[in-house]
Amino acid sequence: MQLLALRSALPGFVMFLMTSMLLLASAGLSQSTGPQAKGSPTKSAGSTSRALVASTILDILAADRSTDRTLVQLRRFRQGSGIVTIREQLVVDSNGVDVQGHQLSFLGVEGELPGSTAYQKWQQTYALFAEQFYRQGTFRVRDVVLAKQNYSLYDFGPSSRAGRPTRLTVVFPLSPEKSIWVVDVDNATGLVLHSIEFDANLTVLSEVEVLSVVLAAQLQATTPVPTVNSFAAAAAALGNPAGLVEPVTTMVGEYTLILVETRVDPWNGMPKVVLTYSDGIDQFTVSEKPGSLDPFAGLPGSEPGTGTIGRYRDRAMSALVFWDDGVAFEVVGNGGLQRLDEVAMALYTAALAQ
Amino acid sequence: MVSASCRASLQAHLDSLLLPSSVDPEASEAAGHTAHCANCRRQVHAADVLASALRQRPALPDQLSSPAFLERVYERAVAQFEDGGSLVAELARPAAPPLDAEALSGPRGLLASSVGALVGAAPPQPSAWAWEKVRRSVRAETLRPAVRFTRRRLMLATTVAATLAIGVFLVPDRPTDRRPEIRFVDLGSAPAVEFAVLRHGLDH
Repeated sequence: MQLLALRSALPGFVMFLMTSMLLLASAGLSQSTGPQAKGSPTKSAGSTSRALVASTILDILAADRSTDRTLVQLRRFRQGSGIVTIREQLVVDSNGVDVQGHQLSFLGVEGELPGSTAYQKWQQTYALFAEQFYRQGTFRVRDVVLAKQNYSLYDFGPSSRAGRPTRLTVVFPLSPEKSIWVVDVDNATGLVLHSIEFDANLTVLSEVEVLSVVLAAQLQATTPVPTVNSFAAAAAALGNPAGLVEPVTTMVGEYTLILVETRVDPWNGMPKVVLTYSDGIDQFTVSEKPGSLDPFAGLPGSEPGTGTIGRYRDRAMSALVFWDDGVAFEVVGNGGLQRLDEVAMALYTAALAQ
Repeated sequence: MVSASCRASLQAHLDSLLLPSSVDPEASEAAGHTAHCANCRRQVHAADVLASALRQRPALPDQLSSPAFLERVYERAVAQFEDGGSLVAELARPAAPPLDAEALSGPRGLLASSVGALVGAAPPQPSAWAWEKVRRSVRAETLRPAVRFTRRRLMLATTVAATLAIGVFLVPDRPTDRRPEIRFVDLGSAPAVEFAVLRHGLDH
């Protein structure tokens, strides 16, 4: 909280200094000279004037929800001592108001031949987790009101990505435990063509770089992920199994429940309820999988009357797992989100009290 | 041996001497006896002479009124005492009551009842064994309430402890009444969650 107050009182030149450091870090990671996008909207005059206009959170949200696009992009991961780069394609179909459909597909591994072991592994990974890569692995504005409350945008002038003029923008959180984003916003469409995620220590957590932009979408037939309106509806969709616990909203702070869905767990093929909470940009999820075995059974300290929460935390992620009455619970979010410990504790206490 | 008639005559005569103004018919009768009794005449004559002598207080000699004479008497008495003597020895010896005298006897007629005799009699002193027994009984009576109170406390505490033990060990646990003990265990690697793949790729 002291750091929060300090940041709110930082003068502009200090913010410029921090952002300069971020920009240097991002420049050292990648450079993009992709081809000009085809079918770009005739907004040349608007693009010139737009270059002088700073991007806003509303602009980014509106572009995401209303622009049909086919993007070829690179996603980078830290693997071992090096970095692995995955080429993927994102197709988004909108109706001018909201995303109607989307599809993220695997194209290849940079530096790997098709059919190689790494290629196949990543291909299998994308077959299971492509949807999650789209939902959680990319910078997106999920709620404009919450985003305005919890983040500040700082414009740092013109830049270029995918051969398109963009605006370099830093999305700075009001809370020090959240990630800092450096994004390149397309002048013409408002789409984010490059995003780098940093933690409070300016360590890169994730990066997605758009190589090419086509403002059109042709989706293949996909199975939509069922969403429900409430936790009760989700439990009913699973047959109202015993042991499910609806989290209390007071335990999540400025995060708000934005999505309740049921989907199949990719690890064991079992259905589960997933609740997604967001502060407008960042998000964490609470998953409840009925019919699970106790992963801590038989371990020391697992006597009746006691509970164990397995916790894993590094720079990039926080994951808390626990089990009660046949339900496996997961509370997952970014690494700096220490409050997830309290969320897991409160949820586990409520589960044990049932 | 003085006869009764002589005695009465002499008594009447003495009374007339004491109260000469009083007229007593027995006085004339006593005078008639005196005329005929030579012993009584002789006693009466002596009495008259003594009476007249007794009526006149003789004057003290001047020597007796002088302080020096009195001082010499005192010095003589002190010297006699210092030299000893039967009187000094008698006075030095503590007075012992006569063997046949009773304590608080006084006039025997006042303590004639048995109660008076008991009051006057000294109570018999009890034996040491009896005193020890009495002391023990008094001590026991004094400590008995404290001992009783302490025993009651011990019994109460024992009862409460037994009740608690029964409650703790025999009453079945009700998980809803106890706050569960939850602890965090840090994992060495990321668990099998989707977000781990999003962050670390195939490293997970």
